[in-house]
Amino acid sequence: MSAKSFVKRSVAGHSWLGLLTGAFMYLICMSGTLAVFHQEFERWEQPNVEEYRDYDVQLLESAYLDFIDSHPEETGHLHLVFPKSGIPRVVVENDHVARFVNQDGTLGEFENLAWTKMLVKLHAYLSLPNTLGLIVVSIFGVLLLSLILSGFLAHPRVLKDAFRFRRGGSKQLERVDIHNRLSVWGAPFHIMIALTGAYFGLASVVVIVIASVFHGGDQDIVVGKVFGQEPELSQDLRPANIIGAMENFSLIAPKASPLFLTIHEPDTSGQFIEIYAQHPGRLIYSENYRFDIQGNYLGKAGFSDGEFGRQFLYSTYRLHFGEFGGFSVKILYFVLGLSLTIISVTGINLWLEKRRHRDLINDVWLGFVWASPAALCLAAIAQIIFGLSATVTFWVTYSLFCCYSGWRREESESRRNFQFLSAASLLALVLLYSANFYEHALTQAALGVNSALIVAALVFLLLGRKSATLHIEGISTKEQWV
Amino acid sequence: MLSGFLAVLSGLIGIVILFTFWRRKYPVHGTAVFLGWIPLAGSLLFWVASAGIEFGIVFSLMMPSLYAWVVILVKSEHKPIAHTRPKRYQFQRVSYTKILRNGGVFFLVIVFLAMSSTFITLVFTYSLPIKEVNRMAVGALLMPVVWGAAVVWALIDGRRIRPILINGISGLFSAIYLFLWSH
Repeated sequence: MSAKSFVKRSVAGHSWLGLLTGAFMYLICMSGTLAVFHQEFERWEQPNVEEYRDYDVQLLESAYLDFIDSHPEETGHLHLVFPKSGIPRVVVENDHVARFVNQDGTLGEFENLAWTKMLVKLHAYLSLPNTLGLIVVSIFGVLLLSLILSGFLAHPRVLKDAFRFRRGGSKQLERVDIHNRLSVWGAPFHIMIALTGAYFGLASVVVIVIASVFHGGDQDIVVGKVFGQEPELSQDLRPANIIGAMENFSLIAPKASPLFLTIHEPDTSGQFIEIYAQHPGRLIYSENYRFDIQGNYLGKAGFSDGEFGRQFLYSTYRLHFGEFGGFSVKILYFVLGLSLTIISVTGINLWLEKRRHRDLINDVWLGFVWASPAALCLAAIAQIIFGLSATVTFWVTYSLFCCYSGWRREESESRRNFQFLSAASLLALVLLYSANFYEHALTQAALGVNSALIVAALVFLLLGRKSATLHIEGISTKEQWV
Repeated sequence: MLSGFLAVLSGLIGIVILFTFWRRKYPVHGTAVFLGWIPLAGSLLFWVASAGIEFGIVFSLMMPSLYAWVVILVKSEHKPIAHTRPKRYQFQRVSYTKILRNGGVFFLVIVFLAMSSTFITLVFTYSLPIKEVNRMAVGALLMPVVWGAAVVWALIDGRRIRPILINGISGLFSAIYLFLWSH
């Protein structure tokens, strides 16, 4: 195969993959870029919850006892979430319900983070049922790797032109430059995101294969090898001694900061306490310290100093979601995630640009890209202000907007309308939110997100104004050609 | 703090040198480009000193993209907007042949290559002289790469039957080895 034909085939392969994944990749990347701030959104969604960083373990234990009294339903786990840098709130929860804990140890509001959960589920599962969604999204991680590889093969000049950006002029050249420059320099981040993203869902498939090949189908053995075997205990039934476990924990790991405490299989003789604690400077999600129900130390899982494989696999979460190194890393992930979103859009735009005609795909794709911010905002308004389902609102409004765009058949006009609609819905969200939460809209938790929403609204206003000018110029150009 | 500042400075210097000499026909072009990579690579040391080895490696891989995009944006070429002739609208006809062909490629990429890559990766990782948990980690890292590379090969090879046969046979032998001989 000659070099020219190789490049031609690589371009065709890259385009095929891009078209296969484009729309979903856009949704995954866009929602993932926003989901980097899921902790901030969680705080914003319920701004009237008490926030504090210093807590009294005795009060937390009394909150836990109150919780098991008020919510006696059967559960596999009970969690006590400690205040941490991202979310300075205490939550006590079982598999069915979660409640915040006030600083005086009384039980507070019920946790209700439906919009943030919708956003995270859109990214991690594409709103599909959990296991299926996780596997589907992971396959997109693999296809993203293929896109990166085929992209480099398809563009032999990609390194030569590594610093070139031709703005204005031909739209196609501008888009090619944006697509290629963002791709080349962002490649390390994109590869890392693709690999870690592929791991989350494919791990479950690989576990099934390894279990059936090497362990007679017993998946628990495989999972135990990575995450450690659960202790086998036989104890008297009693509530967990949280104070004792926390005292022992602070002696064993004084430098680690506890993220949350889980009571596994509560109300059974095998129940035990596990404290998940973050180690400074480490990418591992946590080291897990285990205690019996009376708070006696049993041992740790070994994520911080165990086998390399265990440490590596337990580092994928923080690496993928940018939950390390503070807020500046989140900003970095937001910028790099946005670049991947733009790449997925410009890739499809380039394919559309190269075609000699335009059809329904052009118009629906435009709606798909530009209507998503407005659909997300309307979902937030529906959920937070009116208590309607965020997921249903998002998908219904998103589908309607795409239908409108396909029906209207005016790309520049639809783009302008969606940009103005996004700006308007962002401002409406902030106004309705402030009216709904009143003085709580000025808390630290709410103020940061609301300010960001106003800035985003201004950006959409500016984009809409630019599109409006281009639309008018476009009409005169069309008349000129006619 | 100082190490972090030096890491950013060193990376920026590296990118600016690379940009300056990237496509110029100076006699020192090659040496200059090489010299540009040195501060860029050196920023790794400063990042490690500033944030520790794990965070340091991640930062040193991600930050250069930001410096490069800033340089690219600042030094971009501005051209007057060229108006192109509007394209005519055309109703899309459904081509069942195309749907069938693309459906076949989809099956190849998503199902067939996924299975063969999984078995090939498992045979390779489980033949490594390391503990099982490490084999799993290597497998988790390698499997998407093997699958992704197989997808690219299947899509760009002039004779599609070649990657299908080679992946299919390797996958089949790997599966036989795993399910029969490894027990």
